[in-house]
Amino acid sequence: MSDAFVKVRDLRKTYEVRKGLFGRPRPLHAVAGVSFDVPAGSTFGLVGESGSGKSTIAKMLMLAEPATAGSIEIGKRDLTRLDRKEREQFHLELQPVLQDPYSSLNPRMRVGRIIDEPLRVHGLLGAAGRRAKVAELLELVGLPADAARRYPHEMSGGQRQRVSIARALALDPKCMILDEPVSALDVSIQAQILNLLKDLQQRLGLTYLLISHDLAVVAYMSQRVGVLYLGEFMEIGDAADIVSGSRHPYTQALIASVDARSGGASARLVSGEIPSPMNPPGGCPFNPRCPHATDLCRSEKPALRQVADGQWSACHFADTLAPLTRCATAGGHGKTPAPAATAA
Amino acid sequence: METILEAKNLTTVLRGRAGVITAVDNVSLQVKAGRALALVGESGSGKSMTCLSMLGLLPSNGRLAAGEVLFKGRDLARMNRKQLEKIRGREIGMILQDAMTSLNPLFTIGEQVGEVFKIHQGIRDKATLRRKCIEVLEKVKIPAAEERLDSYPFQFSGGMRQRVSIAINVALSPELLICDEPTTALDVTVQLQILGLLRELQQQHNMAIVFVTHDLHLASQFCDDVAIMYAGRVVESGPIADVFRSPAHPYTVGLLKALPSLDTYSERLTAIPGQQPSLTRLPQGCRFEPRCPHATDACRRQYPDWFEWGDERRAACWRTEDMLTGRLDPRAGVAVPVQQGASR
Repeated sequence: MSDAFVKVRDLRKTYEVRKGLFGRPRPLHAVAGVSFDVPAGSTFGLVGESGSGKSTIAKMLMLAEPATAGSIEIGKRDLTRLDRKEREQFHLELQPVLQDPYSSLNPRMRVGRIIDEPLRVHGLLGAAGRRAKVAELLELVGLPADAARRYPHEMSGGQRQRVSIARALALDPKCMILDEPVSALDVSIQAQILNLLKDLQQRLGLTYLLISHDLAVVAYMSQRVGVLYLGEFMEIGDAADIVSGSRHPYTQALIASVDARSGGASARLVSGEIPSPMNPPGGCPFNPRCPHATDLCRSEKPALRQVADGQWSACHFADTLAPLTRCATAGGHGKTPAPAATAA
Repeated sequence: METILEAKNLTTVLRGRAGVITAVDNVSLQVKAGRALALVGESGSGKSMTCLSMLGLLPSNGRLAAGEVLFKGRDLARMNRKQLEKIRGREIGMILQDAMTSLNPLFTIGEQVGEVFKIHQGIRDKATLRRKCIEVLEKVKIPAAEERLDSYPFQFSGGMRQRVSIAINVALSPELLICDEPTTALDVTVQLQILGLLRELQQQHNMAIVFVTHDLHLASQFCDDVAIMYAGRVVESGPIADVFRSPAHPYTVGLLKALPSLDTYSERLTAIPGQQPSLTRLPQGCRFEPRCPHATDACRRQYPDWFEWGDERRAACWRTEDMLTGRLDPRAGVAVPVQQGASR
């Protein structure tokens, strides 16, 4: 894709972990080679369970963590070779919104000061200009003007998350990294924040990278979805295709567990838990939990390959995998996989 | 059906810096033998405080100001600590959200499970204790139970730790199990495994369960009855399938609609506007009135009486009758989408 705003290629992060003080360090592959594009103005959703590497990817994109290998290009800028000045410029373009609005806001600052801090740090606008900008941002995120004088502890979780969104918008970024933006919020507030983020994207033409463990949230917000497991993509595709025509057993298990909680008939549930990335299983990373696993899956790791237009799956049997029968199909986007010869 | 636990007009006050607040306000609940009651609410709605009040485990700044807690006919609220300690752990079990904090990190799993038998059954013989521990760990489906007795909690995954905590609490076959958000800290694919286990144990032992959760959908898959709490009070209760099919309280309606599901991902979410009122500044009338699309003057003046109908259903709303006869448009007053959700 030529108009990709974020371009990630074969990104890796390996930590050296030692057991005990004198133990030999062993590699932990938190992110084991992921590639994806995020077209300008769209949302790419990363979904995965804890330990899947989704937050590590976000940290590398925010330059909070250096990448071990691979390249990240954001707005035509190669993140792996930035000098100090370029780094500063980069932060004007990309801003994060984090999970917990309790720990990400300074409790000793008033909300107005929290929101204009990025402007002060970057030396933009004078005092009057900053005041006007704060008022404008508060309105943009749906907070009353007098919120500027309040402290974070005087606000509810939803209001605080609005404050962190306003702070992220202060520098007029082009892209935002949303790391579990609603998982700390109450159900009745989640919808408010998700709708706000969608409206802001339309009004300001923002590009989002959304990270969540909740497939329903990701599908609601994103055009493209990547399903992560043990630091690798199991499946990538358009949100509609992933939900109604997934070609990977792990994605299907995720969908089934969302369906099962809302009364869906299909409960193709998996056993076990995500293994420790310290000793990942041989072959396909999902094979110990996969209901379809064969000897091939245990010995040979499947490569991520294209299985339909715009859809990639890392499963040996992506072509013959039975589609997930769901109680209701979403929007009729279903593409039934054509019965093809068994992949070898 | 036999009622195991009945809370009558439970009122709990908490002393804090902001003065005295009524965290649980006139709450009445019934739990029947062999059935699961879901206690659903957002943070601050008083659901956890209700459980702690029933078990006599209130924090030091809390006090049960009024009400009875009848457990098999005996009033727990009138018992002293010694009497309660004999009942808790033996006749009533309690499972908390995060097993990492409810298990002691310095003792092995075997020691912590064995403690139950030591304290309540006076068993001292090491071999017997070991055998009993293995038995109960196998009951919660921990693989290789014998080898894992000497492991420490940190060596277990989140799901396995929660299984240990369940083992400790069902070891003596209690008649009532109180579960406070038992799966919230777990990954989605593991959540359903734990719920399946709880359901199985419930049927084996004809246990009654109080299941505290913020997740209405999860509750609907697992429980028989539901009580929905808002700002310290129960606002609607009844058999969970009925409540789901025809919710009567506008708050219940709002909660059911606010969640993104995989089938509605392209539509805009209907958020409940505003937020739960602070317990120090409650509205004079109905507590949901400031957020309610159907509020009238009566709602502003006075807290609603219970409206009771059908098979043990009731709702605290002045407009229940209108809602049930379809005279209220369930969508009325719901924030109208400003623009169509981001085009896909």
